[in-house]
Amino acid sequence: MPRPPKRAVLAAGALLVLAVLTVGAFTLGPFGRSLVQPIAFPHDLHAGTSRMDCMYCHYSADRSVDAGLPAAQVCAGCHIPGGQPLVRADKPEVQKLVGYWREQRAIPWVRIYDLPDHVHFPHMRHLHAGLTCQECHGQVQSMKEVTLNQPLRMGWCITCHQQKQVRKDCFVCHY
Amino acid sequence: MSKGLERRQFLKVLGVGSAGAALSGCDRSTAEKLIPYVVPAEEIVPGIATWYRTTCRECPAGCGMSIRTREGRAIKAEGNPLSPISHGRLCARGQASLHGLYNPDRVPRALARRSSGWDRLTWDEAEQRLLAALEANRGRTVFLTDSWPGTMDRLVDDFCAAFGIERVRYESFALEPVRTAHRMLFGTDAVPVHDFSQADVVLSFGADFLETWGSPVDYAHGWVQTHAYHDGVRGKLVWVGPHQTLTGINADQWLPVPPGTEHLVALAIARLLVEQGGAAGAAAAQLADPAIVDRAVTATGVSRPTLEALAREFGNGGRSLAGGPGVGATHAAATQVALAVALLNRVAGNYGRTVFSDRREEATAGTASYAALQQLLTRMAAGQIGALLVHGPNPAYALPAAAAVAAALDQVPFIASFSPYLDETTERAHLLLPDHHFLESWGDHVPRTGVNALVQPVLTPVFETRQTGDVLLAVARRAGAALPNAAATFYHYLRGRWEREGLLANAGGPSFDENWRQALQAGVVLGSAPATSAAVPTPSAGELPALAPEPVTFPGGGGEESYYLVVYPSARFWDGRLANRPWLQELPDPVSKYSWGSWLEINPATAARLGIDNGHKVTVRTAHGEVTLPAFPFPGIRPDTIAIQLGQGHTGFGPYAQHKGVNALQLLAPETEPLSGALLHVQVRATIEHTGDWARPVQASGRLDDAGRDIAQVVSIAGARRADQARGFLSPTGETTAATAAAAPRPAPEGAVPVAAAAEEEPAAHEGGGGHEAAAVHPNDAVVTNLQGTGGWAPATMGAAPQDFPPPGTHYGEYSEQQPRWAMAIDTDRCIGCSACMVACQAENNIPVVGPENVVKGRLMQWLRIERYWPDPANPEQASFLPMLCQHCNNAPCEPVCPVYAAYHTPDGLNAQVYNRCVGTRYCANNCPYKVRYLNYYTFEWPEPLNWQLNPDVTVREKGVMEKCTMCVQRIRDVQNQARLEGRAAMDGEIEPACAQTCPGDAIVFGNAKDPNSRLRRIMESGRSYRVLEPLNTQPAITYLKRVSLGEAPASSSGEH
Repeated sequence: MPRPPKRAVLAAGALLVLAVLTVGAFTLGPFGRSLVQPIAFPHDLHAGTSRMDCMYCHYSADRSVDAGLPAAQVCAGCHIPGGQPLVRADKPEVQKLVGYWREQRAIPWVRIYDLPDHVHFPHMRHLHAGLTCQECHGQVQSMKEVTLNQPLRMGWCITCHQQKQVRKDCFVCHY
Repeated sequence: MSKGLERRQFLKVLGVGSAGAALSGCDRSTAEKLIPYVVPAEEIVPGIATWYRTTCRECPAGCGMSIRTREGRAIKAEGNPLSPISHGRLCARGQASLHGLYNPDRVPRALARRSSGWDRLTWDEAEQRLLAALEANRGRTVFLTDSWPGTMDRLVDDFCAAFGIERVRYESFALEPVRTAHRMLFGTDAVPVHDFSQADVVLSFGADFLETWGSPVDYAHGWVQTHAYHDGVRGKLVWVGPHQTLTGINADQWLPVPPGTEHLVALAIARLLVEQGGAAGAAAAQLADPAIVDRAVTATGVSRPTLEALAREFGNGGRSLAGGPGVGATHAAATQVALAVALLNRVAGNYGRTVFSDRREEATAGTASYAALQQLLTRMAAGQIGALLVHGPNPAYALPAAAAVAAALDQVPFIASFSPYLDETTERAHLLLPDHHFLESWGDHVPRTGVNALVQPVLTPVFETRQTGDVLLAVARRAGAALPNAAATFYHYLRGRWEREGLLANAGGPSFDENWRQALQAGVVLGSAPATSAAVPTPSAGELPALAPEPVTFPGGGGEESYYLVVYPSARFWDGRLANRPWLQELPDPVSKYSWGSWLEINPATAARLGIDNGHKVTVRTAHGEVTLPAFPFPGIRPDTIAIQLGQGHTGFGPYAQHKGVNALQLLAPETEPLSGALLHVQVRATIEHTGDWARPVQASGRLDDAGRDIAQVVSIAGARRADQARGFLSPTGETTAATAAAAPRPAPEGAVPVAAAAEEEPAAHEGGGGHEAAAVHPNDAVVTNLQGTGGWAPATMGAAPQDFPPPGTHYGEYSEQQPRWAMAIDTDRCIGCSACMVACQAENNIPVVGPENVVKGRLMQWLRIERYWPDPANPEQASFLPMLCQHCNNAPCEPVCPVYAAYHTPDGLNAQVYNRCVGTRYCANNCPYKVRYLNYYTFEWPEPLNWQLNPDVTVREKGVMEKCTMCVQRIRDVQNQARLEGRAAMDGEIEPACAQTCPGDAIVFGNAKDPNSRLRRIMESGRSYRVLEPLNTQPAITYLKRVSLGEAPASSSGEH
């Protein structure tokens, strides 16, 4: 069913606001700026100091279009084994995790790498082509807070596709 | 362009505007949340589909289904290849089952009626109220259910026994006449299983086996195997009846007999068969009268030579089949027709070869007749029923004399409905106990003898509904009633029965648990092998009742002013139970191409005499009621007959169904056929009155023919043979050569051969035009050269084959000979017009439902449409179907006119539409000669929870974006990704677009045209191949195969005759 058309004035106003927001978002955006996560998860401690493999948590990156996100159970497996807080149990951020786990609530992470819906990025193809996670996501193992390390623009994708001499026509990603 | 604004400046402004629009799509100012699982589901990997096998319950046939789920949501229904009922295919109704699951008009939870509106109940309260009502009305309660073969049937019977409830099983289209005839002959109250794949000649006496009769997907699949042109031969379908349904217009010969005379034709053919040397056997007494033939000739106007020729063809050594009558041919002598049909099959020796009296279509077996339901209504009206439980049937809609039915229901003090939807009967209920949709339920089904199918939930329930089996078990527990084999939940009850009765005894696993797990994975369990043909009973002497070879007379006056009224089932809505599915409402009817409403079928000669044109509003009157609806003149109906389809005209059932079209049952009286008790669907004569009003019809096609454009081409069978012989597919003696049979059935997956060129980096031999004949000089060559001028986009000559892509001299784009060339072949002789592909495409590709107000404006968005043509409308036996979708032209007219390069050609030969580039100029659609590009005039919405069905692999388009068929590029990428992970190339046949996947006739084949060994390539090289509008030099990637005519091809069709 079509949505009834909005009034022209409203539409024009909305467009103006949208334009301002858009320009603002695009110039600032999350690029170079971190967003507040529900738990200040230190990637540097886990992936860096503790040398955990990225795919311990992002478990489907080598077989799915989606990299996957750890269930709270994965965190609890180390931090709350057998229901008792253990590893770094005194830290306030781990306490937050314990809270989520006790209440069996999902942790509402804030998305940093967010491609528009008309882009299809298959993680597994890139991993199998020999790329490392760092080539797109930066040196996550040394980031205390993960930030966007580049603005995720199409030119950035295309440059790499050009260098690697792989298909770069629109229909590879946009459909 | 005004003086103040130069063209370049205008484009700059336009550029900034569209950049802004594009940016808003990438707006990241509001942070999106990522919600992971708390405890991960074992079988779910984000981004990877999980499939569940289950069984379709949209109609009684019970097709096996495979449901694709992503992240816990069902997004696509497909057929289960292991099911002998669906063969991996589904019809349009099965494809649309997801719209039943996610229907916004479902009853969300248990409700109780108050003076106005509904009270919310907890399930505890609801079960308590049901129990109280049952206990108060012990001995005065009736449970009205639909057909439910399997475990649920047992539970309901036991529940009814425990609570003193009388049970009535009713199915609207249960073919009572056919069942009654078989009860008389074999003592079994069921429709026998038919095997259309073994019948070269099929005589249908109103049996619409491609739509609703028996087991439509299995019958359609089997029928096409034999009927479609293969190895130089082709089957024949003869349709006997006053008007043509979808099955009727697929027929090669139509005997337009008056209603109520079909049994005369069947008897006459049987008698002639005996005269020609057939064995009358037990039927000798019935066929003794030599006057049978003359009587048929007099009553029907079919000539004796025609009948004799049919008898000769039909006496085909058990390679023939007669079927009927269908629901739309149920008149006062319907059981006589069924008996005559059985006789005909007996005389022709078809029992045990194409008709199996010892194998039953179980889903309708033993259900109550309409007469039994009528008795129930009489008792209700008399106040004898204290409580009515309803699960399935919708008597307030699906029966004639709606006012009387409503009055009878009003006399029942307590009605509980288990319907998931607020249909007309449920609206009158006092307690609503909504059942799960079948995709949320546990259960089983017995589609036919020896086939046990499982129903399992494919997602967690969408609403707060509860499975009826669980409710019954809980109520019994609450009452302290000990049901036999009672269990905690219906799931345990079901498992218990399967274990107890040894339904998996043949499975061979180490334990029942293991067998059960495997059965759930397979979705269907086949019993022991069906009886051999020798053991199949045939009618024996003394069992055959006397037949009364007299035509039926119809009340309603004679004369020119009244017409036989035929009311027939809908291929889309069944008896109306599926009318609230938006996809089905929008799907154009395969014959009339009307959507979102009803129409009156009328012969063009009659229409012309009354001054009626397509879309004129006419009022149809009988002694029992009147309806006003638009007229659709078409040649497939007798001049003295009119027809209206069932399924529309709901007064409730949610906004998608409500007040769409008319309910033809209002024109009928609640009269029954004397022998079987079936509701008479052909019972009266009606008058027509032209109201003088006209409105643009809500119709996808405005005409019957192709305006001489030669779009759906036909070749005579002799011509097809000659062409195949010329290409070496047939030897001069007519035998298939080793080269191939062009339209071979789909190979099994294990037989697939690797396609060298399918993977992106794999080199492949460029085949050029090898094996393809040099193009003949076409009379339009000069026109084309003229059109091309000197600066054509991609200069190419006529007749280049799809595998020749890219055409030499193409400078635009990055083309590589190492890429595959995706293409398709569509055999129009295998297309039955059922339109399952259209719904499959709409489901797979997130195509919006636009509603009647947009259909009228020609803004239907279905990427694939079935065009149906009568090349010569005066000859109704020559209907053709043509699936029309983006032709992915090598020389695509849409591509050079796009100002923003949104339409372009991919290296693998697809005509791509890039949504994020598109600015909606519509130049491409204007330049497309096939009219297969569709603009989003609005940002269409999917009301919650219909949006749960959206395919996450396909972008949802918004206002101002052009879209069209992508050959399911997401499926191509999916297979390519998977193949790459496994370090291999994609296999031929591994990629199946949604349309090809679901086609019951196997008409659509997708593949790599550059691979000379692909199945596609073999079919493309058939002698029947052609491309639509070839003289335009668009060089489409879709190769069509001409329909084959048993007689001469119509004059308008080009090619060999």
